[in-house]
Amino acid sequence: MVNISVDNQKIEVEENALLIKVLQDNDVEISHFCYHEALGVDGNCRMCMVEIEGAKRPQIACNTLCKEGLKVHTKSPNILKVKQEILELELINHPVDCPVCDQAGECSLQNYYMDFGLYGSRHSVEKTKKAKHVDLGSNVMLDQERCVLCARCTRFTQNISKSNELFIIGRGDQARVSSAPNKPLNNPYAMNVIDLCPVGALTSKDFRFQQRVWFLDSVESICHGCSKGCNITIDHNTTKFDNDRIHRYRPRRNMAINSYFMCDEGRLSFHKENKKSRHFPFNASTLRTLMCTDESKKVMLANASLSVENLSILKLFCDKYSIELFSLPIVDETFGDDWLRNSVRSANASALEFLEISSSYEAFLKAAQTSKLLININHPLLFENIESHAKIMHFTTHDFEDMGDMRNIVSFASYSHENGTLINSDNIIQKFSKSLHNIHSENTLHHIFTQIDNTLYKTQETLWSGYISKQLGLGFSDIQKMGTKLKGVNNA
Amino acid sequence: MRKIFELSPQNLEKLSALRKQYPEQKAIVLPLLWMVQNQLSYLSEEGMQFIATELDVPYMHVYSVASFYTMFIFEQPKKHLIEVCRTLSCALNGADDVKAYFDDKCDDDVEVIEVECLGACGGAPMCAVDGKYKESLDDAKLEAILKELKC
Ligand code: SF4
Ligand code: SF4
Ligand code: FES
Ligand code: FES
Repeated sequence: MVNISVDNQKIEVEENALLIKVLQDNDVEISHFCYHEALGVDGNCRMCMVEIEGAKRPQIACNTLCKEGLKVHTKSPNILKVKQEILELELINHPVDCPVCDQAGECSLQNYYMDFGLYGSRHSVEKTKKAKHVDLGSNVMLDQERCVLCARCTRFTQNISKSNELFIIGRGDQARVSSAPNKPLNNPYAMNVIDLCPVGALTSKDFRFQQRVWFLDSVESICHGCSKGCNITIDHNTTKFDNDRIHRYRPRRNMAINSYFMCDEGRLSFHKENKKSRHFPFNASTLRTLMCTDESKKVMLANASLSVENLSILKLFCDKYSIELFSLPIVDETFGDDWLRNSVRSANASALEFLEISSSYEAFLKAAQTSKLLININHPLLFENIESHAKIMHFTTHDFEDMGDMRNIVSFASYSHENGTLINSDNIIQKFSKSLHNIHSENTLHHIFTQIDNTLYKTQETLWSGYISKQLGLGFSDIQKMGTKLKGVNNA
Repeated sequence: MRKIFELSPQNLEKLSALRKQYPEQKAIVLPLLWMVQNQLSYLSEEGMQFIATELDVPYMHVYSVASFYTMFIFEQPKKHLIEVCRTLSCALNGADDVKAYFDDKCDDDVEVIEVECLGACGGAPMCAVDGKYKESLDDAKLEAILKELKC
C-alpha cells in the first residue's frame, strides 16, 4: 500500500493501482471517454487529464500508476482549461444535434461540455460531413459525425467479442468507425457497443426515438433469458394514455457474473414482458375443489424460470395435497457459448435441486400418463403437445397458441411484476425487483395459491424465514447486493 | 465462383524474405498491400482477404490499415492514374493549380487523385503519372504529360 493525495485528500491505495480507477472508486469525478474497466487503457481521448505535482505537463489519469507520495489535482484552473480546449477540438466537426439525439441526458460529451465547455463557439470553418445513419447490423445504428473516436466499440469487437467487425478507417478529419463493405456487425453480443459508446454515435434501432432517457424509471433486475442470470437495469415508464411499459434492458455491472455486458437476445427479451395478454381471473374455491379435494392422481409441471419464492409455494402446496411436482428446465444446445450464454434457458434451473423438485423428464411423462389432472404452471411443454387424457389446468403469464377451453386458464404476473430471487448456473442467488405496475394488474402466483389455501405462508418474508432459508442454508437478508454464492446441495 | 487471389511467383519470394525480416508478422500488411495493388491495380476484397488469411490478422485490420493511406484504392481505377501530391511543399508551390489543370483537361480514361507527400518535396509541385514521378511541374511539363497520355 502507498499513500497518495488527490485534491489534497489523502488516500491509501495499492502500489501501481491505475489512477483513474482509484479516482472512480473514491467517487472523485474524472471525465473520460476511452478508458473502460472492461476494455482497458487506450489513452486516445485525453479527457482524463490531471495535474501531477512535479510533472511538467498534465498527465492522463488512465495511464498513470500510483506511487508513494503521488500528488494529484483534478480540478486546478489549468486542468479545467485543458479540458475546455480538448472539448473545443471535439466540437470542431461535431454536428451538435443533441436535441434530436437519443443519447442526450446520458451523453458523456454533453455532460462534460456542460461542466467544462467553452460556451461561445469560436469556430468559423465549415464542418466535415460524414455518414449520419449507417446501419451497422445487429440493431446498431452509427452516426459518424457524433463519434469521438474513443475506439471503445472497436476494442469491444476486437478484444471481447473477438469478432473484429468494427475498426476505425481513414485518418485525420476523415477517420471514422466502420465495418468492412459486405461484412456487417454480426455477433450475439453486438448491442453492447451501444452501452459502451460514451456519446450518441451508436444507438439502438430498438430504442432510438422511443423515449427521452430522463423520463425513464430504472429498476434493478435479473435477465430471465437463460440460467446465467445477467444483472440488468429495467428502464420503464408510464406515459399518457398508455400502460406502464418497458423500453429497454441495460446490463448492470456484476463482476462475478456478466461484468458489464449481456447478450442481445436477453437484451431484447423485454418485448415479451410488454406483450398484453388476456386477463383470466381465478376463483379460489373452484381451484380448491379441483386441486385439493378429491383423491385422484394429480401432476403439476412448473416452469423452471419461476422465482425461488414461487417454486417454494408450489412445492409446499403440492406436498400438502399429494400432488406430484415436476419442473423441467428448458435446454437449447444451440444457445450456449463459452462466455455468458448458457444452454439451460430456464433462469432458475439451479433452484430445483435446493428445493428438492424433480426435474426428471421420464418420471414426468410416466406420472402424466396415469394422472387425472395436469396442472401447468407456465411450462411451454404443456402449451404445445398435449397428448395426455388428463384434464389440464393452465396457469399462464402470456397468451399461448391453442388456448382451448378457456375456463381452465388462470393468468398470473410475470417476473417484471413482482420481486423475487433466482439461483443462477453458478449457484449464485440474486434478487430482482418489481418494475412494472399496472399493465394488467395481474395476481402473483403467491397470491393465487395462498388464496386457495390460506394456511400457506402469506408473505414472501414468512415464506423465507419459515421454509426457504432452511432449504438454502441462508436467510433473505444474507443475500448480498451482487448475489451470494450458495454451497452446492451435495456439499452443504 | 468466387475469385481467389494468388500472389505472383516473384511476390511469393518477396513474401518469404519479408517473413524472416519481421518478427512481428503484422508488419507485413503494408508490403503485402502494395503487392496486391501492383498485381491488380487496386485492392480487391479477395486480395485483402488473402492478406488477412496469410498473416492471420482480422480482415478488418487489413482494410483499416489500407484505408489510412490515400494511395491505396479499393476500386478498379481508370486506364491511367495521376496522383497529385497535396502536402505542404507541393501545396505551397501550387498543387491546387496542378490538380485543377488535370481535372479540367483530362478525359475519362484518366483518374486524378490527391495524395499525401510522395517524398519528392525538392521537386514541388509534383505528381506521379502511372507511378512515374514528374517533378517541378510548370505549364510546359503539364502539357507534355497530357500529350504522353494522349488526352
Ligand atoms: S462510435 Fe462511440 S464507442 Fe465507437 S469510437 Fe465512436 S464514440 Fe467511441
Ligand atoms: S446470457 Fe442469458 S442471462 Fe445473460 S443476457 Fe443473455 S439470455 Fe439473459
Ligand atoms: S480516458 Fe484517459 S485518455 Fe481517454
Ligand atoms: S510535399 Fe509533395 S512530395 Fe513532399
